[in-house]
Amino acid sequence: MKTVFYINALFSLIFALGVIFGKNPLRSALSLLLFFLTIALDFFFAGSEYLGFVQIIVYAGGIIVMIAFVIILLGLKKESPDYDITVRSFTGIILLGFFALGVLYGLAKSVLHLIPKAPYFDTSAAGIGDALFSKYLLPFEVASILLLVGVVLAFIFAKKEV
Amino acid sequence: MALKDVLILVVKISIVIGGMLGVVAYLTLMERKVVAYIQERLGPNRVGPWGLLQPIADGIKLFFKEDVIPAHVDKLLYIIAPAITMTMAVMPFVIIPFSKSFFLSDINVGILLLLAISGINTYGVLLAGISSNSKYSMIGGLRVASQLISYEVALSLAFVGVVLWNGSMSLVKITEAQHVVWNIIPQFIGFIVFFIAALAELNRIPFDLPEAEAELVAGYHTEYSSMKFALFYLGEYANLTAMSAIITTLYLGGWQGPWLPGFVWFAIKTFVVLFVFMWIRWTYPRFRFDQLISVGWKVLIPLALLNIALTAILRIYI
Repeated sequence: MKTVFYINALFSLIFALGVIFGKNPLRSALSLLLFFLTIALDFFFAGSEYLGFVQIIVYAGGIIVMIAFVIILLGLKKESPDYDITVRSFTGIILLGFFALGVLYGLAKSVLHLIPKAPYFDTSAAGIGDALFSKYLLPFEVASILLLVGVVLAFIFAKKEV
Repeated sequence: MALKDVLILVVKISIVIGGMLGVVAYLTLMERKVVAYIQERLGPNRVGPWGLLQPIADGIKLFFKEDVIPAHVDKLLYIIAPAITMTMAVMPFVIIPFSKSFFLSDINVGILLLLAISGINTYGVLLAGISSNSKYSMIGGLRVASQLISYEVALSLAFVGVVLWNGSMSLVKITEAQHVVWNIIPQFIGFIVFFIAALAELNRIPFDLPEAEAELVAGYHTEYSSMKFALFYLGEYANLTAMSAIITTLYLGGWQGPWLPGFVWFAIKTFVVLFVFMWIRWTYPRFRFDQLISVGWKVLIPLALLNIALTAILRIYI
């Protein structure tokens, strides 16, 4: 199980880097889509089918389509980066990478064990529904009102005259 | 998992996929026959008795056609798009219970799987539209994206009604919960909403704006030829079969029925729904695009919300 997790993590990293370094905006968006799918896989491995599917529905089914839409409407253009990767900068990047790895390793050694383990949480559909409508009712409602305000504002901005 | 279990699963999967592809191939013949009788014609009747070998002839013809990839297309996306459409069209059959004991898997959030699949399904047509380097394809792809997003909301809200009424998201449990009365009676508003939204999700007339041939040639698959075109075409029919099977499972009691074995009932109900889809396609004219969007947002979604409220009230007092 651990190996599968690490392979999946490797793929998420690759896709995440693809989002940043992709020159074609559409390809970047699709990398983001694949990245979200690997995150959904993480949820499946952690035993929460519900969260995994919600991740796919919300991010893959909604948000990336919107991003793709915006890219199409603004026109597809290949972006050329405003920097050149020379031998010197490449060496710098590699060295910086090693430095970052060292820092991360030191951090992991010293502080990681101080972080408490996440408490058990029932992540089935029933469990999450229960938590949302009892313990976390107030934050849930506040978030929904915030989203509603966002929708109304979007309408006001989009419409020339209200 | 022992080797025997794996083998049984592989055999089951092959039966489902093989049977499904067979049904899909013959659906093309069924559609042509149905439209022929609706328009008082004979339909295909040259290849084999009653035209029964027509799908095979079509398949061979498409295999031998030249596979044209137009200039300046985004090749990777252009090739991936039909594959996404076809795979996502076959996926729902993973969780559909064909009879009391024959289903591939029973996951307890099955309905969410269906929604996730229909979410990814959008990319097949969207990518085909974008990558084809053609104005018609592009407009077709954009229309598909906006249409699918709008109608997915109504579709998922209709799902919520079913889930509330049956108290489960597993398709097996939903089917079993319908042994007294089919969901179509307590969920009638939900059924209407679901059916119309399904028509729109499938891009069928009266909602087939993405491939409106009068204005867009063939929409998102204008530039596709040979087997890639066939994958879109088959994917469309596979989606149609999947949607009919989902409607059967959610609203028409699935495999349940007297006397006959469950599998037969399931097939009969699915084909009745398929026939209704075809009947609608050849009876109604096409909507305008603004009509389509406003029906989705101003009629279907409020109706679906009303259905959820009524279902909740009914659940409390019955």
